[in-house]
Amino acid sequence: MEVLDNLAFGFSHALTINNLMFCAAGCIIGTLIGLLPGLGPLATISLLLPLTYSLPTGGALIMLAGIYYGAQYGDNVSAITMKIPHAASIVACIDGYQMTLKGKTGLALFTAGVSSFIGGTVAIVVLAWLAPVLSKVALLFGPTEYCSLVLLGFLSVSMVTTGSVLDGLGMCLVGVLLGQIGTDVYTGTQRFTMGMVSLYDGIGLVSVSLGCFGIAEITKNLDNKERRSPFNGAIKLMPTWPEFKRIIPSALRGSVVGSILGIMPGGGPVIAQFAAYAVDKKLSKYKDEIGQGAIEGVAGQAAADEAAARTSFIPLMSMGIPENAVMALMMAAFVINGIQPGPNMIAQHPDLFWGLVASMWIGNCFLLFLNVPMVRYWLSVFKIPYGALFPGILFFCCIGTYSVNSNVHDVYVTAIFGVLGYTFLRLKLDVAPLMLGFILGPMLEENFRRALLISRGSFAPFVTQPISAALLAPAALFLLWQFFSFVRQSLRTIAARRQAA
Amino acid sequence: MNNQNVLKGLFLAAIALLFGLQAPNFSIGTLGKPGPGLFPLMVSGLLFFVGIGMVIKSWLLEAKPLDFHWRNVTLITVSLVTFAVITEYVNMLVALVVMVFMSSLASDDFSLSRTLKIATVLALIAIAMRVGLKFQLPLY
Repeated sequence: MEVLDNLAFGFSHALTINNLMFCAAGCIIGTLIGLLPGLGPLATISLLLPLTYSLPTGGALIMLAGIYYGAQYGDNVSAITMKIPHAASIVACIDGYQMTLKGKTGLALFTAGVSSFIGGTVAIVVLAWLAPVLSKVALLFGPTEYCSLVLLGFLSVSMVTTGSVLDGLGMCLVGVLLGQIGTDVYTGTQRFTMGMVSLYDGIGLVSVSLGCFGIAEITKNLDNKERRSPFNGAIKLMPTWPEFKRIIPSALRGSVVGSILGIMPGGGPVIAQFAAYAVDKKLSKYKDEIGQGAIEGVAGQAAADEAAARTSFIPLMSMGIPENAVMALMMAAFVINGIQPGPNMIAQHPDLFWGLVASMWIGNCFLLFLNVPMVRYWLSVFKIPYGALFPGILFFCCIGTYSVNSNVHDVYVTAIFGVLGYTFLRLKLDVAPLMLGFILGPMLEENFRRALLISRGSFAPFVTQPISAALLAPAALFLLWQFFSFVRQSLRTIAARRQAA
Repeated sequence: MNNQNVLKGLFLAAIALLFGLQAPNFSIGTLGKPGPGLFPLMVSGLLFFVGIGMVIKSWLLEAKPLDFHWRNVTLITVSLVTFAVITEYVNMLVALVVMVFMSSLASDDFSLSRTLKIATVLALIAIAMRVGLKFQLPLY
């Protein structure tokens, strides 16, 4: 019952006119950037971070969250209608686009919308129930445990990002090193500042993320020179009753899978989609149709996507540890507004926490009722050629960077990170782990140094403290398994090459 | 040598060296009383090994050539830097127009009239942001 009371309290905050407007604005901006190429949720949230200084805290957070899950939805739409996933909806391209080819675009969009709604609703129940419980567990965490948790997070992020574990881990470490630039909090030593005063406070988060995601993405799109043909087919939205009945079980399965994977360190929407798709392929009554445009192939992944996007707020709000790059940026938004996410957040700012949770459900309704009937109008966005779009995006990146400190020097930093981000992109290194490392790096160092101080230089507590050991054990097992499979693979390759020679 | 897999390992190892060689300049301290240099030294050491690991691993993978287009990334970077320079010494409206024209050269369907239109629209947005939303932009 307590959960219901809390949710009612949250709705009383989320249903004010102001917060409703912020929620709607977030959902609309989110859908738009989900549809458009060149600006993912990461770049947009960092673009709007400076703006949140001047907004009320609750409204700002509600809007940023709306951008995040709205973008998931918009991404789904462009994946289904045109087979273009920008950020995350890779799985929606498979069955969703097949349905479009069969002339069932409307049904696919309706399925995605309804399933997202179901997934989001299930996830909010999980969030409302689990976050307070976890924040009590988090109070048992000391510096040693926080270190182990961050390390586990790095490893799991590396595991799920594209490419190999080495790539992801390497990018996390680069991020940690970049976070070292600036003044050391304990001794006041200037580290890696090269004597530049503007670096004494460290590199700006907005500069890093706009450079790596905004500028690099623009350049990549310009390289590709792709011509997009706008979608012109007919859209019939309402499904028949038997079709509707097929959505529900699959969406529920997806919601459960998504909710669980959203909470895992390193988890999040992308891995949840793949898992839900795999589960449906095994369990669904219509599993033979999946891959050729089955309703289940769209419903499960859309539900998982949305559910994971919501439940990934749990580790952030209850333990203060963001588990992926978007959450790391959300954490920055909390901190900018003077709120430290962590075990005490729910107790200290119940209106913010429950208001945010409730606003997610309201956002769900917005997305469903605004977007499903109006999808045709959204798609007209694609008629704008990219050549006309990107100077605007570039300009907003400049303004976004500038307005953090009203300082032109930050634009130079953004330019540098644009080149760096583009280089990483061409080297096929994913930049998302870098972002996570950059934000978690200072926290990792602080806790690491504190843990060593407490233990007088001994590493033993990392393995003798039960919670820390339980966190590090899976990480160690995973690393060992990776190493052995690498050795086995190399031996095989060598043998194959010998035979060929 | 033009192999993406080798190059990314070398690139990360180079970043590790860049940070790792500076780290001993700050005091390292001891494990029981860590100084500001210890943590960066450990992280860059680890990163160096990750980079070397990538190079070793690349030997097992098929070589993929690096696909790097200098033209666009240079144009975009230069237009950003120009924007900052002109904003600092003249004002942001001029900077905006120059940036739009420079960066539009990167697009393969450049047209003068369209670029003019974009610049005008963006300038109007910027003015609206300053007047309406009270953004502190040094426009004029």
